[in-house]
Amino acid sequence: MKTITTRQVALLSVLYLFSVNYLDISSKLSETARQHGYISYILSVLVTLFMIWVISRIIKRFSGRNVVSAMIERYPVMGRSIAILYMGFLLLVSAGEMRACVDFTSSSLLNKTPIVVIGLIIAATVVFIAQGGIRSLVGIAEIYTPIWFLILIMIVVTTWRDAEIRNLQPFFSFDWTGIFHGFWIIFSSVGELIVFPLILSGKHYKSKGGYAGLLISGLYLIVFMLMVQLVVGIPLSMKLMYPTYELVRQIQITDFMDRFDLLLVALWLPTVFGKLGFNIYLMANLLQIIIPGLSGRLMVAPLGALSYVCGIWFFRNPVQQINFNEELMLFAIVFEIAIPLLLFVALWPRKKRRLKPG
Amino acid sequence: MIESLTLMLLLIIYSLRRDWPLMRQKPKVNRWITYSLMGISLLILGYTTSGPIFYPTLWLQEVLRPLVPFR
Repeated sequence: MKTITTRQVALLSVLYLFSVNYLDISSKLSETARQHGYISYILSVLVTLFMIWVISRIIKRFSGRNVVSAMIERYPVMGRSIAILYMGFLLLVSAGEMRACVDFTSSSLLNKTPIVVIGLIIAATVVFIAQGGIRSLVGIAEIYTPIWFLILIMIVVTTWRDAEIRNLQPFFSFDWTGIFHGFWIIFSSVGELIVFPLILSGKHYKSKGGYAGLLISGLYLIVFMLMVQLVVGIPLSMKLMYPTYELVRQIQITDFMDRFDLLLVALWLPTVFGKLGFNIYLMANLLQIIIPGLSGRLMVAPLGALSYVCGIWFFRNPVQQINFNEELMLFAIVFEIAIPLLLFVALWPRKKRRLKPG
Repeated sequence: MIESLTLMLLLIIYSLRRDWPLMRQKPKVNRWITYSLMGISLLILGYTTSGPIFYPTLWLQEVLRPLVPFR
């Protein structure tokens, strides 16, 4: 398999973090951290940056091999147990994101199409993308991530006339309880990025690309959230299911381009499919490492089917799914902080014994 | 219920037909895990489209709520 470049790793990281997370989390942040939600994002990015640094240090010890296979080689039983737990965590995350995508498409775009049909179409598309491997995911990231950078600038420019600076007032009255509550809610989404270097091998992951991707997607998320709060306002964005979609609907270019938001959604949906495909690709990769002889490519379709049905089964409705972010942070503490730190210690380089002469 | 199960079954059959040449070359464990995961998916879909459903995350929310510091 050819290696991917640092720039491609950065674009993949942006695709991984940005595509689904910006959709619905702004409402919870507006509710908890209010006008200082950007500080919650900054805290999440800083903690994730540290965890990615920890994993990058582990990867450097095992050049060319990924952390999971190194873990299984050194501790076969414990390593496999931890890998199986990560499979469960990835399945939970993947199911939630697939459900979020299906719910958004059903409620905002295709109201009359049965939700099961929408879900199956999305799942099938995502499976085809994931079966293309890392190259198809990189291709999607290389095309759509720069487009979204331009769209971000366009959204800021076109909606700035509707922005009310007083929506962010008072600027310096910080409710630290609310800010940390906001951090509690969103860290599980931002910290997901650490599974990327954990599961992909050292030659497919360049740490500089990971850092750059995290910082760029953090900036995207902060700017989008600030624009939602400036244009839509905090009281309204707290009540909306998809406040960022409402922001995009405020864009008016000319009279005849009435539904400009549909064009933007058409450019956004491939990034979501890329993210969902990436989740399934990571799960297939992980399964391939756990069970010798397994082909990751063959596991993509069954894992895609499982993610889709688990998305329907795990969550009662979209509101309950967003509220579950509070408890999801407990899983994030284990899988995104505790286990990587445990691996940093457990996979410490072994001292080579020196043979005595004679 | 029948429509969603039928659609899913058709997609599964299409996927298996597409992957069959590769599955024949790989070790048998690939086939068994593929069949198991597809079967489990069909069972879960059948379960979600019939009668009252037990939602795992609802149960997890009840169990883990005391550990969440912000309420």
